[in-house]
Amino acid sequence: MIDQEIAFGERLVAFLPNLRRFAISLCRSRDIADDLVQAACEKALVGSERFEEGTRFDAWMFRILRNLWIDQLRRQKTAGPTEEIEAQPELAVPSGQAGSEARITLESVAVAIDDLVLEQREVLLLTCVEDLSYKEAAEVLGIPIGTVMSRLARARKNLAEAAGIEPAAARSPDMRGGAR
Amino acid sequence: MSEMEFTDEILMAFADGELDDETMRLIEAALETNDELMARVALFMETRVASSDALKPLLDEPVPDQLVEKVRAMAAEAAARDDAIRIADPVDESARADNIIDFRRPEPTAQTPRRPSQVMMALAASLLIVVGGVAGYLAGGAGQMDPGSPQVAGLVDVAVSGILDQRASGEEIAIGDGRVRLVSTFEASGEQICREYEMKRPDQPDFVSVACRSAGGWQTQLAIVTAETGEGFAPASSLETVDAYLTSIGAGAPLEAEAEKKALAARK
Repeated sequence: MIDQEIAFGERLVAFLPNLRRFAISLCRSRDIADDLVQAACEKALVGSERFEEGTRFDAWMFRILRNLWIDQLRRQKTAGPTEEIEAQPELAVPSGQAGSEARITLESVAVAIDDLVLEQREVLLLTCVEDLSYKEAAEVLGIPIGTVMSRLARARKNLAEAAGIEPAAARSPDMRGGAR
Repeated sequence: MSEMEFTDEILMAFADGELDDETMRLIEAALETNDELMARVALFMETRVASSDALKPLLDEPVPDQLVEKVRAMAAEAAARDDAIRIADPVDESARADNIIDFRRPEPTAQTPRRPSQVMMALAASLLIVVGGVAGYLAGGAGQMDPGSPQVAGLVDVAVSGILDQRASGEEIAIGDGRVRLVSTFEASGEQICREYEMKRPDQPDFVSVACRSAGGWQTQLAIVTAETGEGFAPASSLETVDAYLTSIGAGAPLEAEAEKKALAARK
């Protein structure tokens, strides 16, 4: 039991970079994110026996952290909580030297992700960034898979538009005239 | 055969490799001759790659030492706590060697004393409090506010219902001698609209409540006494209990002002 507990702690520590990335992208502030990560780890340690071996540890942790964040939003809610807490979104982009064009594009994508509303951002983070399946994301978020899919599709269309992502094969929709 | 229509969701699932074989083959066939469809699929493929690439640098950011140390300390504390609990049943010291790689299979649950988690304990407590809270509310405050209306257990008082239907979160509204403060609006399980509000009345314990809207009106899901009163039940962390409850029903993030307005107007 004890060695398990220690192993669990080491597992948590090893997972911190991922957990922290998710937290930063979720709440768009490194300070809030670090507090959130700590609180999530505390909760995980207290409830470590509720984690089922063989299931995804990352999904379990994301769920704990995300629920803590939602609780925090709710607590601070008066009118328009997200504007308040996220008044000055800190871009989830590491501050770096100005770089290549590719780098600039990546930054614009990161900015566009930050600009997504929370319900679209969280589902995008879980699936496209953290590689959870739709089903796993649905479990983390406590919503039906259908809702995951509709939110995710909307998130990606918004992202494409905001970041100027254009599929190489894009043509004007009326070019083919529909029938063949 | 007429051109098949594919929704964004289906094309996205195709791009993400989440489709069953049959649908996948259908789309593959359609893609051969339909550039527009190809472009739609490509958009989902590229947004995935772009999101993943854009946030990769965050993984390389060093985790603050303070955070790492804190988590280590908490883990050690958790281990020590178990140690204390098991003092009467000393474990084999060799099992505590620094061999952290060695994952043991979890012992069968029947033999492991299961510490109920905080969440479960909070939930269990909430079930007790719900009964007291709602019953007290229905017997006391509500009847006085609207003596004419029949009190159906669980159904929110008419006056409060009106407030839940119309007023924005953050507002505080006088009702009789008391006040209602609207905390938030959110969706449960991505569907039902629910609201959290607090009620203050003179000479009665304050409570915080969660109500969800169904066809028949606002139904109280949970009500917890929050303030210390002479003989009232004052749980140490009633708000945590509310949080635990909301998590259990899959409550989403609180809606922002505009979304809230829309959601409330939608299903009146």
